[in-house]
Amino acid sequence: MRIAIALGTIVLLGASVAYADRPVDQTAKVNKDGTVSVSNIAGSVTVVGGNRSDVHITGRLDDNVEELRVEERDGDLRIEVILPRRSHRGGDADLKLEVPKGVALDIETVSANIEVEGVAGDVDLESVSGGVRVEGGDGVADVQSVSGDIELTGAFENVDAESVSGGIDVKGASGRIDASTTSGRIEVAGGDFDSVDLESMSGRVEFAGDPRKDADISIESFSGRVVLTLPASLSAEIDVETHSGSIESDFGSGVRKEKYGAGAWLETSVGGGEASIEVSTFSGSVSLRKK
Amino acid sequence: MSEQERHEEQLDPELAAAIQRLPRELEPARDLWPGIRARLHEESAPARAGGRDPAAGGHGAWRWLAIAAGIAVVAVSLAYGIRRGGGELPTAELHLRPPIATDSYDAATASSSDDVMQALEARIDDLDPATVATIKENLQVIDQALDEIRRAIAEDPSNRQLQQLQSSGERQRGEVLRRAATLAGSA
Repeated sequence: MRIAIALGTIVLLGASVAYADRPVDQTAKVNKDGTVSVSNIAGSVTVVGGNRSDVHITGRLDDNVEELRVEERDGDLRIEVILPRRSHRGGDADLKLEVPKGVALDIETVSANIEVEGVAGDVDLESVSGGVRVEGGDGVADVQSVSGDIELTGAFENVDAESVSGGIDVKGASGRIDASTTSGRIEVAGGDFDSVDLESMSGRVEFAGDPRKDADISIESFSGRVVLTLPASLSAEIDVETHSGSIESDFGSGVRKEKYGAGAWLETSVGGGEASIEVSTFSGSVSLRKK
Repeated sequence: MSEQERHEEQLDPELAAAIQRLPRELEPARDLWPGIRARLHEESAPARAGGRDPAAGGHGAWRWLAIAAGIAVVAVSLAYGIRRGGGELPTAELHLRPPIATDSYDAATASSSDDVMQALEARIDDLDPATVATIKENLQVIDQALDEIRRAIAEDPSNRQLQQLQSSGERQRGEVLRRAATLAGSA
């Protein structure tokens, strides 16, 4: 019995040593408008922008991580979680970065979640299965994921978001947005736009915003439902076509249906017809609603 | 070693092999440029060795004129052949590939995507299996959608909306495959 307890104690101690986390707490220099790049496979990356002139990195590395490499170069900063070569065990790192709010971000992860708050510079974020959440940005956002959800909240003026199965949720943006997903849903609720290009295969697409004068709004879906919520004072040429879905519209009264098929289309001009709105689906139904 | 070969050497061997097997429909069967370049190099080297700019006049200029004249003769001959009815056009000698039919294009694309998926599956131990499954499922979603669109196009071949949807679907498929190839290469 004593031997068993002793052996158990040794095993537990060994395990706790093997999987001990190592804390991270270091500071690095970056230009106030430089780029902070981060590469981390698993765990998490959290970035908080603030009124500071350097980058404070805190967090933890698990025992499978070889090292945290931090390189300052020409006013930029590169942070990389290094795993042993040909490691099959993975390595988990949770990193929190406090950065000057004007820096640009370039972050790549595999399963690690990415969270960004209060950073005003451009953000280029990519994850495979991790979720990406950004709050408070106002520059250019370029975000990609495979299965992770993408959530952007802020006054972005230029958004590119691409996912395979993850949802894309953009709130508060304006200007230009280009979003594409295969089976995830797309929800855009923003201000006024010059250019909107939303594309989905089976996911639902919802857009609520104001087209600027001469704006181009283009939405395409295969089987996903499309819902547009537009201002009552809309001035646009509207062209909606569905091969076998249905169309409901609060704008115009000219929804027409195929005589010998399930398709429908709507071609109408409202207000002065300044913007262009085109919606095309195969079997997804389309709703145009007034705000 | 070319830049492309150097780039492919840095990739995983299976992915590099998959890339090698990708269809190259736009490449002509008989690439004339290496021969032309070799001839130009061969002929201009002695001129440069003699300290003469081949484009500055003398024999160099005559060589360029001779090449231009040769091209003109070939062009006139081809045009003459075409005017005579085209039946005598030496197509067999040119070894030009026939235009790619849609079916063979689909087969080639399917083959290349199989290669990418095989490379991805070979890395399944390094990747999250759920991610690989997600990519496969979504490719199926796109393929099913494309099948439906193609069936609809077969019934209404001039429908521009369907053609546009097909084009978008194929682009999305390419994007998902690109992501898959990137994953396979970076695992």
